[in-house]
Amino acid sequence: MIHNKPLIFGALVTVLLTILAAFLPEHRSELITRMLIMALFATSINMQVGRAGMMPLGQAQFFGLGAYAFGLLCVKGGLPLSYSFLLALLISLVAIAIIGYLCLRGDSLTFALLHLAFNILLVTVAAKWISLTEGDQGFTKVPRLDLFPGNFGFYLFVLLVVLGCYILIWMIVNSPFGKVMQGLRENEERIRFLGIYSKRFQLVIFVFSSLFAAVAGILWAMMQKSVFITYMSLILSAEGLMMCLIGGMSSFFGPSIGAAIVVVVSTLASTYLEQWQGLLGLIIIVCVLGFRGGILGGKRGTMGL
Amino acid sequence: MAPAQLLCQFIVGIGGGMILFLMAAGVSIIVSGMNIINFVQGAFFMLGALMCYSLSQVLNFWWALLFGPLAVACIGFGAEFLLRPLYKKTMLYQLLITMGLAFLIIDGMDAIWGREIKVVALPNYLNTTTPILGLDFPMYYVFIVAASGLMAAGLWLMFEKTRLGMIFRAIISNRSMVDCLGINVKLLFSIMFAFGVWLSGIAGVLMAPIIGIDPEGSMDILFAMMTVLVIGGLKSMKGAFFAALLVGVINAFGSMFLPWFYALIPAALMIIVLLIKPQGLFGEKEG
Repeated sequence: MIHNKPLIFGALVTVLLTILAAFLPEHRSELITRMLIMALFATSINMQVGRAGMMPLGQAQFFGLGAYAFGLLCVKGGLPLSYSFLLALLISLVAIAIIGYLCLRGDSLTFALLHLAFNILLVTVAAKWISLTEGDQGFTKVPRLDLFPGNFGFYLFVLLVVLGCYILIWMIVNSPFGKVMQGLRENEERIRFLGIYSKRFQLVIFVFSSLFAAVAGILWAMMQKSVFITYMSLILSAEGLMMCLIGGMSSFFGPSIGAAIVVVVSTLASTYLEQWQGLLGLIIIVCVLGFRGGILGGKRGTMGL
Repeated sequence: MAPAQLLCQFIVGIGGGMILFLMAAGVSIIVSGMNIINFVQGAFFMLGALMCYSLSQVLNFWWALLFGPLAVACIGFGAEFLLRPLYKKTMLYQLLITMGLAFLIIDGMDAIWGREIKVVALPNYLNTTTPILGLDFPMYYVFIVAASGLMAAGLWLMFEKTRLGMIFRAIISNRSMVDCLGINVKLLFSIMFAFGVWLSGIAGVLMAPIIGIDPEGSMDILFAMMTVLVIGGLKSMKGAFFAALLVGVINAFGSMFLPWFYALIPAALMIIVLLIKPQGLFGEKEG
């Protein structure tokens, strides 16, 4: 029974969002598309943070990697959309596997710092390799994959992809494999004593989680019809972690709610006042000091990160 | 390339490196003392630069050099109270709160000083050039190297020779023991934090006349400093010193002789160090 509650919740939210997206004016319905993509990004981070107790400080690098790979393939490479989508995923997968293998060689602090270091490296490449990436300018004219026509059609497409990813993530974290992950979070040493090679499990979860971030990046590039250096920025990495914290890291849907809040706050605040990141900073300080469990957190103490 | 030009570029590199060192030293003190990686340091750097901008309009550059960092340190002293409940929590929360603080301070600076990029005028006698091997060299870089060199020496002296430095070292090696000896560790943590932030403020004031001051750049400076800190070893001040000089010189020469990918060297170096010797070039293994 416990397992049914989040599923019902997810289904209800999906229906509600679709109704909203169908009837809201265009610039508001795009807000919902943004929420969905960011929710996927935050959930991908939480696969590592909340479930496996790892600290990915630079998750935006894979978000940006997906976006850049997709954008470059179809804008500069002139490949058809579906091919670029798949090829972008493949490129991301290779990069993720290499980076993941290297990141996981040390202890958890080394993992966090290496993750950050690779983010710095990739963002420098994106900023300085101007002949390929246009540097700080970014490039536009990224096409959308039009399964269905119009803006609502694009929303439906995003919804389908995000739902598919959510179901996959749900299956992963609730499989026996997911249980090992939780064990790793609680007590890595003990899991090793059980004869489980912990690094391999962490690598697998790393690859899945980063791949979902890359999918979110590709969708984001389609939505914005452009690719900018900010997609890969360390600030986005930080924001992703903040989304997890605000919503609650110990629950499945917490990060999505956090993402929705951050998207709404940033959109509303940027129309009325300029300082939305300061507002986010304030929310974070309150969350860290006041309720570390986040909105869906419930009781603290079960998360020995 | 004439040797004079090489020398000039070398001094520019050392100057840039020394600035990174001042910031990294501040973070290094805070990490070794209280185990918190202070992501606000970049914002405090910019705050120092902005203080310099405002103070040098009212008073002059020298007063700004004195009071600017002090004002930043006072804000740091206050900020430390927010961190207090988190000392025993996981690193994730400490990172998040320092990032939140950084966002808050950056936007606060935007709100107070406005968005346009600001420039600080130098006092006349620093704004001259000095001939080095027949080449006109901006005096201010020599000043930066001298001033931050003095600071580095002062830091070393303070840590090795004064009572405060001794207590700092004691806290770094065994906090609870110091607590037992009747020393107010909580207060000292505040002082330590403010001291680390003060160093960052000095770096900000020193750099203010030669950069365009823009709060949005805080994070870039922070991550440049992070590479230095990690290459040298998080808890090693000596390591931060050599790593900073190395990165500074690489940046200065790289921008002259190499194509774009010189910019990757610091990050690549950081990755290599983490892979081969995670505690940093000069760090010591714990435990």
